Amino acid sequence: MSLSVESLSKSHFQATKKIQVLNELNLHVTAGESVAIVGKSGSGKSTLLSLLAGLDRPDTGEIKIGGELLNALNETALARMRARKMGIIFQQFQLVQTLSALENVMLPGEILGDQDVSTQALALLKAVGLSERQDHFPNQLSGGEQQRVAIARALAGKPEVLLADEPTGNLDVETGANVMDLLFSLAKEKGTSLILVTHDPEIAKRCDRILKLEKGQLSA
Amino acid sequence: MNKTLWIKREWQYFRSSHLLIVATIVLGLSGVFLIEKLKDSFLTSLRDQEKELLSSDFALTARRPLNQKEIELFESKLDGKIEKTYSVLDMSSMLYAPNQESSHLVEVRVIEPGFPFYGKLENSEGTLKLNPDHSLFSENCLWLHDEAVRLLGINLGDPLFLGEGEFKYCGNVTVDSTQGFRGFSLAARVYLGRSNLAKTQLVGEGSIASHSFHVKFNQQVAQESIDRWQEDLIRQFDDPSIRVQKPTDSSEQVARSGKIFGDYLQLASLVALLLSVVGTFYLFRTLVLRRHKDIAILRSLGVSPSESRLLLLLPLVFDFLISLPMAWIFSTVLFPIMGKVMFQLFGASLNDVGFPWQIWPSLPLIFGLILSVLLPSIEESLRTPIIGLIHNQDKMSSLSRVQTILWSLLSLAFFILLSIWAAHSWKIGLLFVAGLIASLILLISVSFGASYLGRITLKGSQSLSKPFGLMLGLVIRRLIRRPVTTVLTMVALGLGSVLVSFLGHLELSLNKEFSLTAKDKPTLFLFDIQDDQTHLLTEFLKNNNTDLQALSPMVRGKLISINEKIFKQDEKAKSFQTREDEMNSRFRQRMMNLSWAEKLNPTEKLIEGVEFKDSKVAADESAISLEQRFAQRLGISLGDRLKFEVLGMPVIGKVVNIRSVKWTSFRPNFFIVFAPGALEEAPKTWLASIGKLSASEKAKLQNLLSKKFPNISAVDVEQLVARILQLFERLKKALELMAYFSFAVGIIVVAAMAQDQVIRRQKEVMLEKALGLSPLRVTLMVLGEFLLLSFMAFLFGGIAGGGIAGLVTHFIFEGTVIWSLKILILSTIGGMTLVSIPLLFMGRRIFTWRPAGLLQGA
Repeated sequence: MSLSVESLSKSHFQATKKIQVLNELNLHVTAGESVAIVGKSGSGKSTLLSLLAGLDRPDTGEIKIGGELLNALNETALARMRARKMGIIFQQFQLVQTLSALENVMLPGEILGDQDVSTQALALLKAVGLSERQDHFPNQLSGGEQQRVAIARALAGKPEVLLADEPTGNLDVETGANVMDLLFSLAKEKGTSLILVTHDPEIAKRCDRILKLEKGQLSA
Repeated sequence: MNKTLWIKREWQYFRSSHLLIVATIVLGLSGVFLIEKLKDSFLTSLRDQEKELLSSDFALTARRPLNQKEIELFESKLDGKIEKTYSVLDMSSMLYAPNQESSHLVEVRVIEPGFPFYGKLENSEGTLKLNPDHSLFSENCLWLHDEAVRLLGINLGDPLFLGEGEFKYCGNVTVDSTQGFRGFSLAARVYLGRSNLAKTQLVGEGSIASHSFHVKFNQQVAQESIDRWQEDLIRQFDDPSIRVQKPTDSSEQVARSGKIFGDYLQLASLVALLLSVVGTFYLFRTLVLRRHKDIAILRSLGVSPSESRLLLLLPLVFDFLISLPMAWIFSTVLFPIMGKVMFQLFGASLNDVGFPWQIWPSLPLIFGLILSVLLPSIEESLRTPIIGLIHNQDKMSSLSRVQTILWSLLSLAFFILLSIWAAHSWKIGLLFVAGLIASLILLISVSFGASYLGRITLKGSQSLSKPFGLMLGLVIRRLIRRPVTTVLTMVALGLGSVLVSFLGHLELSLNKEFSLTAKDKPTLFLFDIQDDQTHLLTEFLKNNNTDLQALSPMVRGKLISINEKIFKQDEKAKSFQTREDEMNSRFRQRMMNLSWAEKLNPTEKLIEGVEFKDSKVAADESAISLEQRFAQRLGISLGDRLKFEVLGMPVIGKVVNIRSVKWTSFRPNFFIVFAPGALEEAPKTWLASIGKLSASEKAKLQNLLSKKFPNISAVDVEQLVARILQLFERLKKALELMAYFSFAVGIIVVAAMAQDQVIRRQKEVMLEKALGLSPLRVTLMVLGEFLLLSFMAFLFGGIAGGGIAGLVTHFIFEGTVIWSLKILILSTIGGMTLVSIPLLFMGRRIFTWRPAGLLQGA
């Protein structure tokens, strides 16, 4: 099992009113499986993703990635875990502005202290079709190019799980389709599990499973 | 569009940015206000006691005895308004205490009963009533200022020798309202009754003394009448050696040193202002970037560029306007603290005053400076195509090179005008700006140089971790790839450090310059040596195993004309004067001290022209050598013909050379030196110095000298130097206070910039955490970035400060430049420690940020 979630709950307050975003939610994703999570705006998709990535803490429940329990980890260990086992793709790309395309892709490997990071990063940039723009900085790249760099970066640490938050939300239809082709093919090629949050039913359909998030619960 | 509503909304949505801008402007303005308030307060308290300083309503003063005709003319002018009169004589002399075998140079004030008409002399027993039966007039008594008592180590009733007369120490003076500003007079004061003056035999042909005749009016006299009398009398006397003084002149004289000192403080406050402008620029630019898209939308909806400009500008004008009263309140809060420090240092009493209205001319300049620095950001925003703005809000079009240069020149012009306003001297104002520009160039060059080195080192690097490690590697990449932030932070931190280091280095150099360890420095400086005493004195010194050095004649003369053009003394002070005007005016009022010599002495250097022996002059004239600054001030150049009057006889000379003089050599030196042959027959006194002596030899010789030659005054050079250094130390402390204020402003500005950077970097920080960097490493990276910048800024700011101090020492004081590693290390470590405080608070915030915010809707 690549990722398992048991009885996950998360609430937050809107003014004085408590909103139960996730309610005793369960999720199991096997290695190499792709899962689309769909739902209305405000249903808690991004909250779920942030908990899976260890970017936020649940109120109750357990999250295991590759058998390792996230709840027990402190912030430093969580950060380490993210570097080792996860790749995250954001809607806003989130590249480090002061690093070139190549350096952005090298960053996860450097954090892990891997050897030969540059060769691997170049290979990934080549795989996303940007080897010739390796020295360009994010503000010199188009939206589609930035997202391709972000995909290459997400795969750079050889993660067990890829978490993608509306990866085409900021791209036009054609560029979005190209980016998704790339994401699915690379995930498959590397045997990485993919959990994809999306509004787009066409993109969701390309995943092995589609789960709908409603009233804090996931349903098929 | 409703402008008030716009400003209100702007403040609602960008409250923290505007608060930071206002805080930064308030800090910068506060320094300027505070110093102006201090100067104003100092001058007000002097004005309150101006009659006390003069001690009378009106006075006639000369550096020679006043004759009966002059006094009669003076009295007749006052139109029967005189109630009482007295004469006062001031001079320097040696005072010898035989019981203690100690002697000191003192300022002797010879007075008549009734002194002072205004003000008071006090001691622990109360105010002294100087009636005719007071011991000063009825007995052989001297009354001494406390400092003279302390220097001589005497007790009440001890005998004292002043000139040829023997006296008794009858009482002390602890408060003397006729003496203005503690610390600026170089000798302690002694009071002597006029009836006892003859006994001293101190006043003779050629001796230097100030003679004054004071009156008290029998009724209230309008200031206009006094001003008119003064003007009429100056015209009627037409003699540069005579001064007609009213109380305001007297306070102005005392205030001059205070004003000059205040001007320097004001310059130091301009550094704080400049730093706040740097901070405001940074914060405003950030704000423009954030408003960029909204403005683009408004423009796309039909708002014209000029209206858009106004919309960006109005909140800033509002910020500036509310900063003014806030800065006023802030400086008022700081005033008592600063006032206390000033009182400790100078004993100058400071009254709290209202708003210093004379600051108004500077406010448009300050606002102009801020606008000229900030407007380019607005222009850049407006130049950007609307569609680009909507799609790419983080990018603004750059101005053309010519526009950038023009804006920079405009800012520079405003700053130069402000500096001249603050320094009251175009020369010092320009020097100050030049020093700052040099420091800025150094700091900016270091930033770019380090960036260049960083780029070279990182070029072709196959790893983010090589060669500096991952954290430092990321920090360095951030620094070199965000050059504007890097340079601004360097400048904001570095400029404060420049000031601190400048003062530290200047002090070292001056200490060295005034150091008396050098063999060629004299121990004693002698003056008032009469013509017939030179041989006796030489003989006397030979018998005491030492010799007379640099024996130089001094003749008093009046400059009549320059190139046949009558030389006019300045009669009226202008309402606003730069220090150069004031100095020129002072030079133009002086009787001159003339001397002659065969050639330049070892402490003089030929700048222009030829030595006397190589000069060619007409038979009826003599060759003249002029000191360069004196020549400059009077506008005299090589070849000019000067006509002097020495005791009614004309003496004509031609300027054959201009020379520089090393005044800190403490040898007798003169502004005007004639070639031998022209002045020998004139009445003269002599100056000389005595070389290196041990402390005991010096004390013994001083005592013997004051017994054998009581009219000769011997200045203890060591004490004089100690006094000068003490005075410099006080000035330096006050300036340092201002430098630390600038330093603090720099740090606060950087803290504001760092705060803004951290907010802007929030996403980046969260991203780094999301990618797997631990919170501690991410926090350390942000803090490390600022610490690295601070280190470079303090170090190179310190180096720049040392460099400027070196230039000032070399070119202005003509002294030896000294560099101190200790100052550099201390200012760097001190600065880093101070910067760490706001950084620690910042670090806590960074550490706790959770990266969940990176996800949409999370």
